Amino acid sequence: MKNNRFKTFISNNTIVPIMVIVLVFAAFVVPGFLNVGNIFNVFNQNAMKGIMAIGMTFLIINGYFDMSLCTLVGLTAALSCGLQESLGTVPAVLIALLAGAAVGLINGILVSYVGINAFVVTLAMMMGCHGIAYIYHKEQSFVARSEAFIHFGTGKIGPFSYISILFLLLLVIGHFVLRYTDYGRSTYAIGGNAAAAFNAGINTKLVTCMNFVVCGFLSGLGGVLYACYAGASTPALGWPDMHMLVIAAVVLGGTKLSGGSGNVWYTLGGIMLLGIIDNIMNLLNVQTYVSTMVNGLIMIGVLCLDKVMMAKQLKKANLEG
Amino acid sequence: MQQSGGNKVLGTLKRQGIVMALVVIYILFAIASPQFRSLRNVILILRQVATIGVMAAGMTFVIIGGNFDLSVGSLLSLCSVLCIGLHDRIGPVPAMLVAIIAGLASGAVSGFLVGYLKLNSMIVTLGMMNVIQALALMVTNGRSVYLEDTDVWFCQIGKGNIAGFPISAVIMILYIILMAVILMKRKYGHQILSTGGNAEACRYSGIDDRRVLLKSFVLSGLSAAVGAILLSSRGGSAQPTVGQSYEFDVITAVILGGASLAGGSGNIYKTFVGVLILGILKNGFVMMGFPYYVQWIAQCLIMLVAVYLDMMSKKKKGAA
Repeated sequence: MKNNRFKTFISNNTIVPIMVIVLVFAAFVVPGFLNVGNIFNVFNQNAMKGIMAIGMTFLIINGYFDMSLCTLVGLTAALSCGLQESLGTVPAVLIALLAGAAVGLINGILVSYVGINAFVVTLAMMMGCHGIAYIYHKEQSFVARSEAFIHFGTGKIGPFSYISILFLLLLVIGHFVLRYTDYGRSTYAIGGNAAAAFNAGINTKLVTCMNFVVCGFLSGLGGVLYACYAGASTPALGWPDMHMLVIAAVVLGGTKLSGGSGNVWYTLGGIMLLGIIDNIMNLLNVQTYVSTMVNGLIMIGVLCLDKVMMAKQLKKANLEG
Repeated sequence: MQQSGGNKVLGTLKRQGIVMALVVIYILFAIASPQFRSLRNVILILRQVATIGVMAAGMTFVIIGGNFDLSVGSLLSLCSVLCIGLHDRIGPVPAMLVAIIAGLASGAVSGFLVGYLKLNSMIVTLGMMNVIQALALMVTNGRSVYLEDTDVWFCQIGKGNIAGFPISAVIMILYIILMAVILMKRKYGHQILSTGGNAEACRYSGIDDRRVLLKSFVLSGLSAAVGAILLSSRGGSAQPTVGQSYEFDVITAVILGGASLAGGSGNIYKTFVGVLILGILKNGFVMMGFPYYVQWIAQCLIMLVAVYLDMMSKKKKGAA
């Protein structure tokens, strides 16, 4: 019985065995990997991406994904740095976060109320945000003036940076919302079967729209945090593949792109897996292009593995049923 | 996709919708900028869109099959550096063949993963994009490659003219006609259209949907290779990241052309109209003296409006 439960756990969380294999490999082969400082470093470095991935997790469970993330981070980073001098730090950050939520709202309205394909909408918004970010920047970088702003990006409590504490906090909130609130359960229901959810009396349009806003807001927050971390913003931040990295992390974790299943801890696993692999490559002094290639191969590999596991599960279910 | 009388009329109307948009955008720019409306600029636009036009023709097949191919941008980079890097060593024709084989092979790999293993095309081709980009950087060690002498016939493909008309545009138009014939007149075209519409039904009627999907990715890879030949021969040089973010333009053009993202419908000629709209936006704003990034905002708005109008026209069809 206990053995059985373990098996189900593993087949439901494919990311866990993969992570264990990677960690064991790294611990033996990679010098300097196995110390506490390094592991925390990986976590801290990937916290920004993780925060964006939480928003993306909500949206992917809902059955959609957001491509506009990739340039939205550039836009919000620009607003949070560029407005500091004229408006002060707090208003600048607030406006940047609002801009993120606003872009999410536009995406949400166009997808759920107007009914345009989500891929088209978010691809279009990606172009739009890219253009606006460039117009605002005029192809120059902005430097953050505020001490507190930069301090937030680089400061630490113990081994955790402020940003990674925020990430942990958002993970817990995300878990709570998805698991224990009507809104979270509606999200799962819509991702699983939108028509059934509608018939069950869920306001599918509103929930979908809200999930776009959540994703936009957290992407915006991610952009602001990148600006904090670097103390500056450039218009090309995130272009051209940030959204892809985030979506890949969510999917690698085990959340299905078809919607209806997944949780934020999977996403944490996906983010950490990509982060650890990057870290191993750095420690082994591998050229960056080799690590790009390994990243690509791992994405395909994990997807294959997931397929095999799913097929096994289906077979078993068929035999039992 | 039956070609009943009503469908045909509506199809023609819809095609004219996007063509009308093209005409309106052209006229607006022509009024605003005298440089834009010169014949020389028209020819320049045709030369500029040659690469995207060829790639979009291949992408149309993938999107009709209900998938995406995000790897075409980096494949464009890889094939370009192969073409230029090998030109002086093994001669132009073998170099082009190597590039085309690379395109076919990469398409076959993504096609196998998507068609036979049934993996999600977005993540697979994203992975392939990383792998191919890395290959392009490895082949060149991250440096740009140049031709020793740009006065060879290979460069004429990109730079030369036939009776005042750019050779690359001629190749693009021939390629698009070829692809359109495959889509509309050949057996394979019917197979991909029906597979995109309903893969399961196809399987039951005896079509091997796995092979059909694989072939669509092979066509997309081939198109990226041909696009790379047109692109690299124009300047006689290639950077290992030259194709970055091309995939977005290519997919945008196909969407503007009205192909359904759920698969099952699409038209190469309309895709070409989408390509022309993108080309005119890129060229027009620069000609009017705006910074190049204004085109992205225009691209955003036009895409949303075009897809919205397309959706409305389909709804009306449903109501009638």
